[in-house]
Amino acid sequence: MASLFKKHPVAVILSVLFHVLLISLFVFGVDFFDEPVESKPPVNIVKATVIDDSKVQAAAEKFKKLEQKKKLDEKKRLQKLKNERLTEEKKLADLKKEQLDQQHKIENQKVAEAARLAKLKKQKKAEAKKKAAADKRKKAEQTKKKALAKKKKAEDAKRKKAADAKKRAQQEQADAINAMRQAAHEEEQERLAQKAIASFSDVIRQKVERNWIQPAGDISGLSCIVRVKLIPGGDVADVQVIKSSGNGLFDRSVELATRKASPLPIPSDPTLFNQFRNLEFYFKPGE
Amino acid sequence: MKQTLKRIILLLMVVATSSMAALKIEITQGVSSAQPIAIVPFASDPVIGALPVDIAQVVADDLARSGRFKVLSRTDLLSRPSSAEQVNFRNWQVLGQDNLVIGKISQGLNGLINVQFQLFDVYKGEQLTGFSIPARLSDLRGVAHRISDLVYEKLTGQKGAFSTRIAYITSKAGPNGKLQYKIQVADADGFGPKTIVNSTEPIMSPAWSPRGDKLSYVSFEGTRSAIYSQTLATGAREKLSSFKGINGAPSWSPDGTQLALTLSKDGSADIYVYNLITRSFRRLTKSYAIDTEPDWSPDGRQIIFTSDRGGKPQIYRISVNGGRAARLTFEGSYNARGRYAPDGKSITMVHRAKGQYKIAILDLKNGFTRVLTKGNLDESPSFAPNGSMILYSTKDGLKSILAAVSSDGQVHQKFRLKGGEVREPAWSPYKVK
Repeated sequence: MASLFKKHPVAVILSVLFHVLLISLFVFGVDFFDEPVESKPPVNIVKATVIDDSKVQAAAEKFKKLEQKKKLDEKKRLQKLKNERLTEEKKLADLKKEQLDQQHKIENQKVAEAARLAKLKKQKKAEAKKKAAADKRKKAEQTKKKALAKKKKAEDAKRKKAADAKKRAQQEQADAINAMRQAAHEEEQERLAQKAIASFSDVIRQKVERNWIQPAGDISGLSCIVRVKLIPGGDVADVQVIKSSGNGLFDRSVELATRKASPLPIPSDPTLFNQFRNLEFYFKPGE
Repeated sequence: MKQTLKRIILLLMVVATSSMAALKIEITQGVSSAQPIAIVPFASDPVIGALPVDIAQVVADDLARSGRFKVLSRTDLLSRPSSAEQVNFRNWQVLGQDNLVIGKISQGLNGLINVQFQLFDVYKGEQLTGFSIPARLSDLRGVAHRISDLVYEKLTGQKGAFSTRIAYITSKAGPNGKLQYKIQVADADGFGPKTIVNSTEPIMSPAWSPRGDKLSYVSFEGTRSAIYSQTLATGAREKLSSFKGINGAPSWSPDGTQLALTLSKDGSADIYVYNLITRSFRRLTKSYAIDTEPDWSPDGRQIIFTSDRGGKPQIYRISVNGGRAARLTFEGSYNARGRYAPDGKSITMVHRAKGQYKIAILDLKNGFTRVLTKGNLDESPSFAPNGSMILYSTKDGLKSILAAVSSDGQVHQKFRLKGGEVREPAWSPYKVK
């Protein structure tokens, strides 16, 4: 009973109060129910003046019977009350039960609600998760798509670039071939020119050597450089000793050799001749 | 592409540099041939008249004989200038001449004449040297030789030896059928020989004193050989050595104070040194073999001589202070009569090759022997004082004559000298002024 009170204080108090009220109704109920009857006797007394013994007997009998009936009625009423109370109690118990049930129900409902909520929450969460996953997937897909697009673009660019490069390379190759041809041509020209220069240099050298009467005596270690200016036709216009051997006779022999070799054999081509306008002879007798 | 570009740039550089800088040509070989020279006959002042000597010809002969010059033949002369203004250098160039000598002779003071000459560089058109030499008419050959010396020295860098003399021995049967022996001294070209010694007995081995004022020689006059020294200017002579046996092959020391000679007074022929101041002899070699033909090195520190101490005649060298002699010649079985070159770097000698006796030069530095002459009995080589030529005796048929060869073996010349057989030439030192 205490644990019940503790558990449901309001319900218990309400129940007690309700019971007190019911009991007081039992105790004071007569008054309550008889009140309208007591207001009617003054009217009945005035008619009861005509009394007969038989009639009184009959009346007494009748009263007795009434009493009995009243007693029975009371008993009935009490029974009825008792029943009613039982019913009430039952009803209360039911109510209480109902209440508990209700409470249980509420609690259950609450649990259910919580469960539902939890479930909902879980569901929501799952849904969110699902959504996030979906989003993510979507995003990934988008990214992938984007990357793919990008890749495609890059590939396209690359392809284009490669194509361009190829084109450019071809152009370059063509240019290079042209340049090479040009270079080869120039090289050939230059080679021919160099060959001609070398060839003429050699002939010049030979002519100067034929004309170089080396001074008698020991000339080993002596060397002399002369600069020779030529005019078209190969004639020696000027000879200048630019590095003396230190030996006057040697220098003179060198100078004489270059002067005597005049005219030097030179190419008739004026461009080539330009290479021969200024000559430097390095006289260095071998062993 | 890059490569090509590089190449082009390089080529451009080559072209650029070659067009800017002078083309360089290296000359390592020349010819050791004679220098071309034209010597124009000297013009003579009409008041002087005809000269006894063709100076230009003497100069031409001198220079030609040296082997260093190729003288333009007179018949090839296109013009005969005698002064610088008359010279057209271009013409001489066309004639292939490097050098030109012109000259003229005019009246001088005090009965002398002036011989003026100029040497030109034909290609530069410049005078290289020129002198005006006063001279007596009687000494025109001497003047010519002096001109030769001056030209030679100017163009070769070496002192000319044309004013020097040669001494040689002649032998010729006299009117009585007996052989007459003479020492003669002539100009280096063989002109103007003068008899220094005349004998009916053999005369040998003339040797010049370093100053060129005396000649020593071996004479067999009397009963035995003796070595004499004779002053050329006075004819005065003195006997230096007349020991029993051999007294031979005198050679003057460069300072003129000593004579190296061969004596056999102590047994076999050995080399001795005679001191002209102390009048004493010093024995230099001591062997059972024959040691002879000494010659003093130019620095006076060593003496070379011929010895058969090894079995065959070879040339040895010994210090003037004595000691061990070192053999110098190893090529051939006969090398004798060595004479130092004036620079002391080589010796000339008689070298037997294939049974023939030739004049050769032994390079003392590398030991190489170079044969210079083509005769089969060439003897008595003697260097000119400038080392440019070697005088020697050779056979012309059966006759002995003198010949000269340039020391490079390029130019050969025979001397046509009077006096019969001509042998044992000795070239004088430079004339001491």
